[in-house]
Amino acid sequence: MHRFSRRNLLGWIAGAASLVIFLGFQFGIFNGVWGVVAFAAAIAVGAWWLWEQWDQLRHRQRVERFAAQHGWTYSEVGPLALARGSGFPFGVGTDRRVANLIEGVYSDTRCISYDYVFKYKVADERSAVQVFTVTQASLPVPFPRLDLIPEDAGSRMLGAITGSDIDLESAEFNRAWRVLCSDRRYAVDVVDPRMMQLLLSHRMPGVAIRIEGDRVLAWSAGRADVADLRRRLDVVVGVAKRIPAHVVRTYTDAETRRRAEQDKREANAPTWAKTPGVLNSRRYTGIGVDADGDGVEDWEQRSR
Amino acid sequence: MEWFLIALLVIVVIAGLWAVGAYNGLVRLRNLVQEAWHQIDTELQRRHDLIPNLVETVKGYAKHERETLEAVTAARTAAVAPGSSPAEQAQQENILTQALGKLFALAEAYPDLKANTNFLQLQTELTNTEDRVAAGRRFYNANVRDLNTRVETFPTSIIANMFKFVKAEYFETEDPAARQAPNVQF
Repeated sequence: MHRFSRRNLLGWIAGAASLVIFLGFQFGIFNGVWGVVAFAAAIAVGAWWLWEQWDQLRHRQRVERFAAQHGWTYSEVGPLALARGSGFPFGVGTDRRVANLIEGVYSDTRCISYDYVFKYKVADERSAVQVFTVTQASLPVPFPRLDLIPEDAGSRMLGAITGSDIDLESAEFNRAWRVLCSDRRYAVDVVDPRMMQLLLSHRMPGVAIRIEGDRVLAWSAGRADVADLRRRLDVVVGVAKRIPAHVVRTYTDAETRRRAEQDKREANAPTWAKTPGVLNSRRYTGIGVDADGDGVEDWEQRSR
Repeated sequence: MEWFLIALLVIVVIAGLWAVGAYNGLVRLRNLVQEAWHQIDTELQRRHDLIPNLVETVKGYAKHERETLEAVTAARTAAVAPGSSPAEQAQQENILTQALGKLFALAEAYPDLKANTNFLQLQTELTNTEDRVAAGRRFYNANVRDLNTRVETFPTSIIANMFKFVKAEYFETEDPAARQAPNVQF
């Protein structure tokens, strides 16, 4: 169902105002220059709103068609948890949502693509809607964050992602891309000559790449044309597959150790905490409950 | 006159702050280079530690290939010797890599050896170590590049010369064949 937003309301008001002004002219209520100006302004706003609606509808239909052609699933609205991340554009602004979500497998890798929409304040009480197109490929294990920003990206994108640019051994690559990462060694390991070759041959103007957690993202401002989706998928899947094997091994080992420690902590947890339904019962607090029958209430055991 | 002195003082202070910043930057880079070298050294040590076990495993199946086995042992001994500069170490590692390449090539003629679990495991460990050495080399050379650029470019070169900062040596392979990790083709 299409969201009814302030923009829609504005459009309805413009449409209603146009009708009122038209009828006003018909019945001689409005006349003169100001009447014409008001009428023209209302028509312009109404026309702009109609164009926006039509453009969004067309984009939605194209995305749906792409999903149907490739055996992917389409959802008009997606869970906001998909758009998690530690830096711009995620976590910025208000009224954040995921729209036009498609999910499927591309080149043996699970991928998704969606429009990430949010509002941000431009001045005082006014806010503007910003749309980003995000395409993701899954990674086998979590990796630290690494940003690759094209040098031709807009100043807003460049300014929003801060950090020291890491120079690599290719001057052409350094001119084309900005590599931002808190761990220089990790960045140098990941962006090896093969990765540089991929990024130079698959450049898309204004599209930034991010490796964060268990995913590779390609993100850019605006609603991207569906025709570019295949190229974006090529980039994110290519990056996911070209992370050097020794880096994958290092972080696979780290993840295995982390899970082993987590399993050990869970194994050593008190019995009441592992009981299904514990959050809905008094067992969660352990007050008045002695699950293991040792004469000490469960909440006291935690503090001993 | 007074304004002139104030201006001169300001210039001296700014120049002094810049000099301190340049000096600290050079120190930071030099430490990065040293740290990167230690990381490579750790991986090279691991590589050297795997070789005796490998030689013993191969000897059990191919005792007549004495020349190849002795070449590997000799190359390892030279690589392990302390006190080499990065360029010298690179040369020694190149020789070791070539010797290991010949060792793995001769394993082709011994199917029992190729199927030996210990041999396969050592081969995998060596390949993994080679990957880490290659990655470490890239990182080390990147830091060396930054240090050398700072030492050579003006005006930081003034501070570098004053405080005896010198260019570091790269750690790189010369033989294109040695760029490949030793691997047995089954």
